[in-house]
Amino acid sequence: MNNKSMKSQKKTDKLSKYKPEDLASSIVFPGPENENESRLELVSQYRKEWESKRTPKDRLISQLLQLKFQIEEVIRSDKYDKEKHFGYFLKEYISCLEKKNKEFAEEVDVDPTELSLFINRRRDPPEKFIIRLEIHSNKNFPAIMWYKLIEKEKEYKLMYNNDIRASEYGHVKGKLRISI
Amino acid sequence: MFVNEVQTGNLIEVEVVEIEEKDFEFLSEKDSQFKVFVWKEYKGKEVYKLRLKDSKAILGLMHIVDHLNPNIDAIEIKLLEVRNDNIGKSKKYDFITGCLIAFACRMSFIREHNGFLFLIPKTSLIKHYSQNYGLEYIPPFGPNKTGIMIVNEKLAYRLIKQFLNE
Repeated sequence: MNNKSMKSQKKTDKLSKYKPEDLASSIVFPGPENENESRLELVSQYRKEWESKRTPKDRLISQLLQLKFQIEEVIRSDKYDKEKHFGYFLKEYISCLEKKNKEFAEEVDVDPTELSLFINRRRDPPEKFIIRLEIHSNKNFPAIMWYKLIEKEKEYKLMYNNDIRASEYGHVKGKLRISI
Repeated sequence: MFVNEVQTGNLIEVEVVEIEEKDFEFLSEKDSQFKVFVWKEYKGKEVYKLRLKDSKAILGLMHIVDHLNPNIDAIEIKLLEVRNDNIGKSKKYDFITGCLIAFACRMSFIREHNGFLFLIPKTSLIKHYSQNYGLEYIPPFGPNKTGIMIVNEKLAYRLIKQFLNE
């Protein structure tokens, strides 16, 4: 018996006391390495068949879920990706709906120029705009989620904006002389 | 995300995070409660741990592979193991595997695979993956080969709602 099959035998012994239903609730075993291609072919075929049956509604739901989870991930993450800002996700939201900016601006009653400023990070969106986004998305994208996204960006800017620190230094006449 | 404390029925908050270097040392110790797989062999690969939010105790581990090929376009759960005191009738916590599978489904959406996920089942477990989590079995093309169990976008969202409360 070679090393690998000994390990495998040990594994089987350890698990033999459990019922299959218990193992299915606890373990996923690695599949045999020599069948990778045929298994991937199965996935590929399933994907093709599934794709052919997808309705536009299925696609939209999937895209919106993707967008929502991506936003949540940015909010949750300790890291900050400068590219994943409010404007980026707003643009993605509009794109999921296959709408032009002008058409979307009309639907949420903002000037198209103002919408463009939000998308391109030239202006922070006011509260009323993110509430309109919540209403527009039928509460699927709550205002609080958009708010947290904006806050995340502000937090990053506040922490790493050295220019503003340098310029504000001159306005502070006295400061604590102790560190805690 | 919560697991169920079997004895009390209380829901206990957990989180899934990427494994850290120091965890591999702990997992290699003789008294480690993860004994089925040699996890240190997966160092450098994409491995996640499910842990209790309060004590940070690890309850489950999962190794996933991201299949970027557009024909596959899915995440594969290569390996998953629940801490050995949570296997079988006397388990302390329930839902660990459900939370890990749902986490992988969510990852599949985030990485633009539309929630698609698959794993290779042991023949004796096919029925149970299906009953426990709704995974669909796709039989192999030829004899003496293994099929796959797949999660499509609709099931992925159901699992996410069920186990991640999202």
